[in-house]
Amino acid sequence: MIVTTMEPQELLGSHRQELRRGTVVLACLLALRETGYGYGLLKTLETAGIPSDANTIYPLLRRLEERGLLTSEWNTDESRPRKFYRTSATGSALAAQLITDMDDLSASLHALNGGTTR
Amino acid sequence: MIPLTERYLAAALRSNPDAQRADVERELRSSLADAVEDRVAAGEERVSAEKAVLEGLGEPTRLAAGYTGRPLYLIGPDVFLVYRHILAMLVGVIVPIVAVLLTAVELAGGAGYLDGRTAGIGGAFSTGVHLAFWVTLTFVFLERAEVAREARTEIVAATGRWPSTGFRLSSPAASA
Repeated sequence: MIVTTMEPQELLGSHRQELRRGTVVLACLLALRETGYGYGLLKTLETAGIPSDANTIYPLLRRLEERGLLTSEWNTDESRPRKFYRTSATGSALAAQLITDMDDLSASLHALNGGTTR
Repeated sequence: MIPLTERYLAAALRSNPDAQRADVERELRSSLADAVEDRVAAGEERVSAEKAVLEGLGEPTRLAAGYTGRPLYLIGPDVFLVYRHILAMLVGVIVPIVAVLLTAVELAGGAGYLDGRTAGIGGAFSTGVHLAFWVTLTFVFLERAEVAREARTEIVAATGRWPSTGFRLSSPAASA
């Protein structure tokens, strides 16, 4: 039998990454209820305690826009033109559903953990 | 020398469809500039800031794949089991037949036993290599080509054995 040995730190890192992967979309939809642009969103997420990679977020913004969850608009008034995104009505509705699911999931996990929900 | 950012953008945008390339480029430029300015404002030198920002974005062709949605594998999990099954079946059935037939033909033509066997093994080997190559190529096409997306779903559904969702076992009780 092959036993793969992973350092505890590495193991934690990979599982954390797995856990966070599913929440990036939700985080973007929530954060962009206030209009924001690519780099600004990265900073917002980082400040909120959800650090994400630029190479994940930038393509994701376009995909979410294609699916109608975000709307976008170029702002060329300032010295540097930026593409601003905002969560659409569909996106907001989806985010509301997802965050309810997230809370349910969290409650279920805490129940499994034998404790009360936080 | 072409600046680092320009080379990075060229690599990251090369595979983007023309329709969205200009927009992606414009947006990436402004995002990169934002990130670099942020670092410069924090006291970093412009050259090293630019390098760090680009390195942070990772391999440009990987970023490009993120934009185009093109997979970073040849044959994905949806069709892999079907691919393996078809390949095993074809190789397992056709290769032995070719080996036997070629050997028989050689022997019938008056060749000695050793020569016949060598011809059989050689022919079977090249048949196997050809089969594997063409079957793999077909599946790579199915996996990657936009036009093949529907065909892919149909093929997996037609086998009825390895869908990634909606797997059903035929129940013996139902037919009784």
